[in-house]
Amino acid sequence: MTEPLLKITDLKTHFFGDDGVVIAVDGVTITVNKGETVGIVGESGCGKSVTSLSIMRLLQDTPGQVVGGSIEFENKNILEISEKEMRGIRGNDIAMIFQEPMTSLNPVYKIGKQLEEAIRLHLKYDKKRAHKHAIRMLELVGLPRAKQLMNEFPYQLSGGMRQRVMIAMAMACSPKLLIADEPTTALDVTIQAQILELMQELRETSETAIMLITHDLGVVAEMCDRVVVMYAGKVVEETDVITLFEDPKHPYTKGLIGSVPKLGENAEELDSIPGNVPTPYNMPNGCKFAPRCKFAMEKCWEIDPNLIETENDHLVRCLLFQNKQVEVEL
Amino acid sequence: MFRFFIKRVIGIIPILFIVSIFIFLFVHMIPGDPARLVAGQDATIEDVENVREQLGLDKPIHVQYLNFVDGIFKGDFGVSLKTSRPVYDEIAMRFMPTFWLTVWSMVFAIIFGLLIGVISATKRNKWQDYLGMFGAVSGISVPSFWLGLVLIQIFAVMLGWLPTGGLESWKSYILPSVTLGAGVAAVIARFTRSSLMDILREDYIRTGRAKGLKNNKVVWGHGLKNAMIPVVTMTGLQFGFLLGGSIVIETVFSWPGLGRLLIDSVAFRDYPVIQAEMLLFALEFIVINLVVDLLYGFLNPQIRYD
Amino acid sequence: MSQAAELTTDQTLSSPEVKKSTPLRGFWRKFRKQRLALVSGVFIVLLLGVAAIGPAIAPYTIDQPDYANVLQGPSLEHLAGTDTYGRDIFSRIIGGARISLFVGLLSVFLGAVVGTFLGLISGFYGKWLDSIIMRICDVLFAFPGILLAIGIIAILGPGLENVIIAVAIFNIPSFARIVRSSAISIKSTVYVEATKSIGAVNARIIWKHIFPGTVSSIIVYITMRIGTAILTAASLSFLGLGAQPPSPEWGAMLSNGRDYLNTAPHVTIFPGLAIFITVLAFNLLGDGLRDALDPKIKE
Repeated sequence: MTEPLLKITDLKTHFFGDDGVVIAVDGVTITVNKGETVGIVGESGCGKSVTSLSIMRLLQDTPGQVVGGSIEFENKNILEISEKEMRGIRGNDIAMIFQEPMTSLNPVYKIGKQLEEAIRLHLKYDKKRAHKHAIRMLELVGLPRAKQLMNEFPYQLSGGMRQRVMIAMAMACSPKLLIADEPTTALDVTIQAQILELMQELRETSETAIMLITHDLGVVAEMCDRVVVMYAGKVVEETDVITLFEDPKHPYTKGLIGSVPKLGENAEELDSIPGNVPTPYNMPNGCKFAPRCKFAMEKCWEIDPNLIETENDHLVRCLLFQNKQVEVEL
Repeated sequence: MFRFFIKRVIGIIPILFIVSIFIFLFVHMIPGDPARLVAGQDATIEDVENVREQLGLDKPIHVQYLNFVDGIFKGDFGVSLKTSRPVYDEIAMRFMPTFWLTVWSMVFAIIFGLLIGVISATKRNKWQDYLGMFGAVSGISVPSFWLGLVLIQIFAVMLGWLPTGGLESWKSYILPSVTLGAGVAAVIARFTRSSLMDILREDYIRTGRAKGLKNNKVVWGHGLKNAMIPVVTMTGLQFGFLLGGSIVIETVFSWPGLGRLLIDSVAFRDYPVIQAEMLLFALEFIVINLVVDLLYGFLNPQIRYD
Repeated sequence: MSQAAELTTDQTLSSPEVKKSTPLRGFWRKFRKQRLALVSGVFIVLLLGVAAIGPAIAPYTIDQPDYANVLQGPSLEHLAGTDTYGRDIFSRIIGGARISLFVGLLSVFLGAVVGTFLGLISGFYGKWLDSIIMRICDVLFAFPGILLAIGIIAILGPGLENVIIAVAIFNIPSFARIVRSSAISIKSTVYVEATKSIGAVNARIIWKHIFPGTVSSIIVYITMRIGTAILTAASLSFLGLGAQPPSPEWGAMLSNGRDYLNTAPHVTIFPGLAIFITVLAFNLLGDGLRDALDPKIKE
């Protein structure tokens, strides 16, 4: 189970706006193995969503652009393949669920049509077979009256139902990788639990690897094998889920874990860490977390630390865990 | 859907009522005595009184209004002062040329407007966008009668490909339709661009792309169908512009239609004809707006079922 | 990513102070980006200058016939050629600028004044007054603009003054609607509520508090309507309902050249070009102002 499926290396994504360049993703390296569930954790604005859009190459409607690094999917750098080849991967090998179920479905098309679209495109089914498959997918995600739903419009469905439709749509072509960008954030707490349960079920019954993007550590604890913590466009810590909760190293991770009141309850805001993610216009020179860090030392303001392996498979980007090696570099 | 339809149809009745009063009063707003106007400058007082009785102008004003409305339903709009023929006949023979002229202009405008609008929206801030939008603002700014004359000069006089005016064959439609449709095409292009640009930022567009759909399918299918909802409304409103524009264009191209009849009638002070034409244009405009409203319901599923 | 940074350390204190931006500066910053609008603005100022000095800078007299030089094509002597009476077309275009601009500006201004007044009282008082005003606007909207103008001219008779009145009238409902909607939104703000409770007179509230809030919309919309007004007025003159020959009104000049399209196309082309460029300049300026001042207004 350690064969890598997706290997992101030193990814850099910049946004070219009216007021200058914003560095959204700054040298991110993440690996997702086959069948594995990896959590990407961080506050909004830390670059986790941009990372996922970079993988899907869906930045074209934004001023964003990948400017460096590589994304290897099944040993092929998908940043270099043609748009046509990429279309064959999107929705087929890599599928995606978005944060906003209310707006992620096209309001003027029936549910059935939106589901069948991808099925017919990638699986090359005829209309009848695609229709059947779509109904089966709706049943699979636990939606009642699947047949009628096919003929309904998105506005006739609740948010939870829509997210189930989105999941059905994403899973329809049995993708190898499912990217779920905050799939439960916009939903009620009870619905959140249902959707997570559904995703767990799907993970167990299929071979699909999941890249779960969230700010919610409760979700991470429930779902993930490995966790990547991101801050200000960079990976600050990466380890397996048990180690992360038992022995968090980076002060930011510690803050995040400390801010979850109790397991099962959802913290909407992480108010135990003072301040906010720095805006691109006042990005600190040294460690990006220094302004909010309880342990910040003088050198933290000057040195932007590297990501280093402290223990077996436990990566941290913090001067507290780095020694002479760094000073030599200076 | 049926309820929606009925509601909209009932909704235009008050507007029709007020418009009919306006147009009825129209003749009464003309300075001077309408009876004398009809009878002519040289008529004797007796003649004028006869005409007054004939036209029912001696009756109380509300009776006159009822007669006017009654006439509308019977297709009786009086007699043209210029030709002494029933106004109904004068208008009937000129209705179809104007109708087809506006229809073909609209077809032209929609095709080119959508094309330019979509290209501009998808090639945002590239040369295609700048060219398209500069063309569009030019289309809005160009005097239609001048554009018509320039096109005549090029395609009829210099190249000899198309007739200079009149209505003889399908070729006669080309220049007037292009001239009349240019402004509307420009408005549609601008509106489509901004509407589609808003839509292309929506989450479901991203969903479509994430499915692996082709860009064309995302833009023309998922995007345009949503963007069309406001565009249809706006395009419907542009019909009024076409109706108005046809008045000018028909004069340029010697078109045997309602617009030229109106201008001739104004010059001749042929009030019964003017009155009937005003009514007809307003009615057409109201009916078109109604159709647009219904079409809007058809495009937007949420309204259809409410 | 746009949240304001509220960093709690001294880092923020040392960061450079953000430039204070006033509304005017913000407007100028946005407007400056619109190169075309800027160029159009300069052109319009020049045009206004030409209109003001008018015949004084024209190379020839405007209405003296010169039968020796009839229908001559463009040359160094006559930049835009001569018309059927041998008059220099370029000079007549310069002389006509005054008429076109006057008609366009005055008619829109009149329409704006009446429309603004109606929109303000309609939005402020609401209820039956609002319903009546808006129904009347609906009816005026039921006629295509130029048809309404033709109808009005059919009553008042042809002539430039009546064209101004007609174009002004068909501008009223659009101004009334735009002003009404901003008046309603301003009315509901707490600010005006407070003034009301102190006991200010309604007229004073409208004039001092609501009207200023609608001014930017009105200015943008005036600019956007001037182009259309000039076009409509020119169309009416072209149809023989507006300015009458020998007036150098551009539409009337163009109409005069129609019969010589085969032999002397310049008689129609140059006045038309003058209308086109002028209207284009106003429309580009209007677009630029709208984008910079009031992106809410759509056409």
